[in-house]
Amino acid sequence: MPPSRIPPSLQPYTSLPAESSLYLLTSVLGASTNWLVVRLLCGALAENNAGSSRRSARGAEDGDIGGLSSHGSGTTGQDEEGEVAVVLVSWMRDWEFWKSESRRAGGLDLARLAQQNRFAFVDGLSSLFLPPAADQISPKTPTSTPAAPTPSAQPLRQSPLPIRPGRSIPPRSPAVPSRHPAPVAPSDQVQHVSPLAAHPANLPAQPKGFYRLTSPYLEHLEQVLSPAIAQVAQLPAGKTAPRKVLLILDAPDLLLAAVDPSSGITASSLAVSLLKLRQQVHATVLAVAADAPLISAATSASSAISSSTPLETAHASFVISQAHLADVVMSLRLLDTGFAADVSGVLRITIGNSEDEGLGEGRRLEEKEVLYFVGGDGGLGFLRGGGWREWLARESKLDPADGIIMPVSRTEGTQ
Amino acid sequence: MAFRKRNIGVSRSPTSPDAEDQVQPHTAPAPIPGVRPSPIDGRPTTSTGTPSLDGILAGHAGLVLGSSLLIEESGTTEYAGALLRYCAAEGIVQGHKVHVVGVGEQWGRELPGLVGAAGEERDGKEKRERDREKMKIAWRYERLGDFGAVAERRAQSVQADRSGPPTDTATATEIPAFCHTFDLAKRLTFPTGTTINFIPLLTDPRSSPFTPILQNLSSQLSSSSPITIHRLVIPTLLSPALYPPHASQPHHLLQFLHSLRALLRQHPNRLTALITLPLELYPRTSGLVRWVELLSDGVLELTPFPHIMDIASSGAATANEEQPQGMLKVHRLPVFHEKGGGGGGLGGLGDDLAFTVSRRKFVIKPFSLPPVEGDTGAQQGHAEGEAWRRRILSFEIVGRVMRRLVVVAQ
Repeated sequence: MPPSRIPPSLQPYTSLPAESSLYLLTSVLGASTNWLVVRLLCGALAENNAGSSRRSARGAEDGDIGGLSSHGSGTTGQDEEGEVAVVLVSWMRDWEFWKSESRRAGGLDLARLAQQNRFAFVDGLSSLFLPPAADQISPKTPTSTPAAPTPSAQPLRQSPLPIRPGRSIPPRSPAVPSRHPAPVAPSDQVQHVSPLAAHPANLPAQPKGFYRLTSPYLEHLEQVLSPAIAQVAQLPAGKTAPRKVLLILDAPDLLLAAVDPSSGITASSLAVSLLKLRQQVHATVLAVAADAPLISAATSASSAISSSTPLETAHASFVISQAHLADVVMSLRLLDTGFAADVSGVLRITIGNSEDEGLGEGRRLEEKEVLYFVGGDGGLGFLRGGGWREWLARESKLDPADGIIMPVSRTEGTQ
Repeated sequence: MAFRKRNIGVSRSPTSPDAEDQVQPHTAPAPIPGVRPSPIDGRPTTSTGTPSLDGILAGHAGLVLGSSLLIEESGTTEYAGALLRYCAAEGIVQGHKVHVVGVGEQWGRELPGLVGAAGEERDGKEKRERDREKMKIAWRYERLGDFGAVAERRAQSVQADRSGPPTDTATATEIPAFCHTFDLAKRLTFPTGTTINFIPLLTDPRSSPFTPILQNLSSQLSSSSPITIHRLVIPTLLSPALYPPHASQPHHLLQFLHSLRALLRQHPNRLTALITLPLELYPRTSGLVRWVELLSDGVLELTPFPHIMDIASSGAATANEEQPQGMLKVHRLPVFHEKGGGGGGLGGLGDDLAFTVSRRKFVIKPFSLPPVEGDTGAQQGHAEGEAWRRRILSFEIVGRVMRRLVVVAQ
């Protein structure tokens, strides 16, 4: 599967970000960032896999500045500099979803990449708040990673585990999700992390690359992520440079929203944890929700009338502060004008401050706003324009005479 | 017929891993009642008990197993409750395990009674008219019930003037009913041995009121047979009548929904959840509700019309049709939006949808201002101002005229 499934106009943005940069993806209800995350995955992972067509395309695009870019998906010396590895942490979606989506959209075999130590998945959904009894205390442990990759004999979306009837249900007395007392957290971590490290070895199909968060606490997050990052970053055989690790965090804002306020997770402590994690990796991608109710606390002065809840305040402050830190912000929203049959939403790309510092990746990226369409089959198409042109885009279905929107060849890229 | 065989083949594949682990490896397992593969990608789906609601779920023609649906309702009405009851009743009839949260057994006793399989119960003229329509619609769509009002409409307008040979509708009846029709005025008689699992809420203010739900649900899931479908029904989430005040604290509610999401993902072939949320106390502009929506796979919003009279007086052309009682907004659909999709075209996402509740059915259909004789052009142009909308409206008019002609001919 060629990496050219990413439309050319998106390619500069989905390739591996420059060193120590932060990409922020924001979504709203109905315009999720999942497809974009998958494209970033593909952009980072497929780069080494599939030849140099892509890189040469970039090289042509960049002109003769091959020596200029010392980092990132540089036009020279990617092979000398080492491969790219990805750690994906998802709080909202399970492994099956990412596996099937990236296979369909980008032709990536994440399970195989995990075998090669180039991909690690950290599951923040399955056991984060769910009482762990059913999965982790029971004797069934070796087969109990429902989100773990299963032997490829099974179809993609199948449940990897039919629960056995007659399995004894362990008593789950104190493991009430909302009552994790803070002091217990460290011991929790120790308990859970070590089975996790040992656990995948029991699965021949998935010996490594699968981790699981069992506690929402930030210390736990760091404890789980550090070995995951170290695992994929280790020196590949025969290479001289360690892998560059791209860390993708899908919906870390859930922690702000759903965790007991007494646990001490605030917007600033989450930001601090992110900074710590960013130090360990090459670049970071954050996917957060930016629905109007969630960020209006920061933006609207009129909210003085209706006082915003702590949830809204924390979320807004987190997202806004990350947006200021970010080198690239890719925000998705729905069409302002309503629905259109061939438009999924609007992608707006804004570039942060790194542009001014010169030599950064940001120099080559330009800000833009495009309409996008994600087909039911995972295909992706782009329309030029945006903003007021949305209306024209809709109209142009019937009146292709309009010259601003390219009438026929306006969907570039895939399928 | 080639289509049909292929469909059956697809329908077996989702069930086989379950059966294979359990009872009979590699023998053809009987299809699970009430489950059929999605016409789009073959994932197992089940009916919500409301054919037209199945029809708008992004073309899957049913609720994809392993997903949840949040139905929000503004105002003081309880239309969403009707949807829940249909869903629970459908689950009972299909032999699924139904779990209801927070309400007492009285709720279970008031489930609507079974009338028949969807599509069979129409009486008199309407039935004959329906049959005539069936013959014109490709049987493939017909089998899917109201799979996509759009598809049906297109098929109607295309096939109407083609008048090909009538397709063999008898084949459709061999397939066990996917969705049934219920009568809100009757009471459901439970098949022997079926019970509803009522899950009470915890009222202890120090702990999450939702804790028993997860415990109960996961123990039921692990103790039941792997081909049993479970339906979790949560009526009027956060309603002060049922829920203690601290239930609305984000760390209780959102942790519960996140865990529910995890459970749904762990049992992608066995569990569905339907939740209704009254919006009066918790409006959509609050961050909490937005997170509830983000944690659900599908989000629909019912907005009942405040004054029925306004609509009723607006046109004589709809006198023979039932007046819509409110608008239905689709904010998110299972699977479809998770992939990042948007845009209309599937299941009427782009349409303005209205719902009509009557004793026997909950109908969701595209809302259009009724055309007035003699002034159609002006009124439609005024109302919509979009060319394609006009075109669809004219299809509707053609369809309406054709239907009348059929009736007259009979």
